Amino acid sequence: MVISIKYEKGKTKMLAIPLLVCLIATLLLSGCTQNASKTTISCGGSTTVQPIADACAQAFMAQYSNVTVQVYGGGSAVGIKGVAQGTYTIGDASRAAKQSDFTGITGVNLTDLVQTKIALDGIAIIVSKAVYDAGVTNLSKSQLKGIYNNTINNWKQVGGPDEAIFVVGRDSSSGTYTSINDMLGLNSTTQKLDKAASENAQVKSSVVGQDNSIGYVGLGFVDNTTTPAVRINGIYPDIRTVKDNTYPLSRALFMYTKGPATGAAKIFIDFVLSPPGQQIVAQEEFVPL
Amino acid sequence: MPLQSKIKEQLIKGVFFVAAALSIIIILFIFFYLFQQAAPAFQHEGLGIFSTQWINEQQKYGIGAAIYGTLIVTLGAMILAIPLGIAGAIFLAEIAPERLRIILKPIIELLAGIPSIVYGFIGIVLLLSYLRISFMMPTGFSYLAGSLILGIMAVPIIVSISDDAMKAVPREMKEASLALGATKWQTIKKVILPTSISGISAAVILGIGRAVGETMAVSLVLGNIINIPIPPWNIFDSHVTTVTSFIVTEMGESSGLQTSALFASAVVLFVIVAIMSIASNILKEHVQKKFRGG
Repeated sequence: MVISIKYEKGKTKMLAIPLLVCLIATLLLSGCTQNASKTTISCGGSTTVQPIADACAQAFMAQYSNVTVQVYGGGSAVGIKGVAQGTYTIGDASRAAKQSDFTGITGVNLTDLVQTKIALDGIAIIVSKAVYDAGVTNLSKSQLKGIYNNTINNWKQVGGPDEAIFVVGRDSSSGTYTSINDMLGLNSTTQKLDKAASENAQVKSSVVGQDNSIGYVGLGFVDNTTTPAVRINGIYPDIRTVKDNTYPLSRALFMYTKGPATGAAKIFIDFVLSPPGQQIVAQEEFVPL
Repeated sequence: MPLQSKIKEQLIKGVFFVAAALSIIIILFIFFYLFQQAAPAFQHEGLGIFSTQWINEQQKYGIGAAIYGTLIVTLGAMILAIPLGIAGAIFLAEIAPERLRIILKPIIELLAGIPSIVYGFIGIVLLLSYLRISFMMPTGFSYLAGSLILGIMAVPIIVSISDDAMKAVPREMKEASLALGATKWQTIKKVILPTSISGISAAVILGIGRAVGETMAVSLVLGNIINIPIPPWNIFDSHVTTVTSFIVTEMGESSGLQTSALFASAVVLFVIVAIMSIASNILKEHVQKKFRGG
């Protein structure tokens, strides 16, 4: 308001108010600066693990304000290589590390990595009630692959009614989309969908709305009255078959460290394994340990 | 007393000024953020952003297919909405008796205010199965469904604004035409339509703008697969998406360059809609000048 004295009354407001707004904006944005005394750990790799790591990092940082957890994607191979080469403190992977991950890396080998299982991932295949009732209650993994790369396009080919298969899946940035690709040996050019939904619930409603559909969802989204889950290779998807790894569309998710985890990385992994961490795992539609 | 009212006046002026300044600042922040987030994708892709290949594993983010989808869905919507909208406006402005007009006009304006998710829901529940059965399609999800929904949504806007433009034609002109022995239809064709054409154009452009920017209703009735169908004009194919629908489907779990590419599609959309909005404003001004004798 000091400035206002020098100017004619009508104009002072015009000057003072934008200045005030700018000041408020600056104050609001100034929270983004970094604190030098913070410990930073990085956690990167599998995009399937990424939503778990992301959500856990948020909750973790709210509890431990002196630690910053940076989460990256890139894929399991990137995560394993990254932790071996020291790019990441923690490497995320949706499969176990293999010897072939270490080609071209010197000074580190497979035995140096310490593996921690953090969650389980199980994907249920749901079909329209009409298709299920017509006799499609079991699919082999190769039939499923055929459906998702469109080499099988009629329900007749897998013992169902003579109707085209309407293939529902997820958007290409979804972890479930990547999981299905990995489990069936597909990629984003060979997984051919008729409808991409942005959420599990949307997959379900698309399958309900068409009586010739198939879709994939997290275990929690199976509803036997409207969208029954089919058996894969004769095994029904539930928490028990996912836990003992007999269900074909299940796998474990891992976090890797070079040598046993220490310091902030150890506290973070322990947090992921703790009850609140496992609750986040469930929230992100994975199966807790 | 006069001093007090002066202070009060200044205070009220200030409050309104803050409100106006705030909305401009927010818009500027949105511009800035949008372009800042999109920059990495433009740097990475260059003109490749307009290609039709969107492959996550290879970090190829071309949104050409989504832009094509937006254009073709909007085109379909306009083929439906323009004739219906203009015909509706002619009826409202020139043919309907005053009593009917009083009832119809507010109802049509109300239609324009129905939330898009409601149209989308009606689309997914009624339209999809209707299309599937009547056209014997493997599925109802298609360009056709998107165009129908958007067309229906654009009609009330076109009717309402075109009607205003036709009502703005001076009475004397209409009376002169009738006095010379022209029929009602001749008057509409030769006097009303030519004089209100810029207002009608503004209405159509606003309708197109709504169709281009619409998200929820279309994302529910399209397949949301980024792809150009074969042949490209195959309106029954479900493997299609629009820019808006693509953004809303992919944004949820995207990260890094992919998010940036989605922001880049938002920039493209923003530019299209901005051009349309400016064009419609210019046309509207043109109308106002015409009748003020300016």
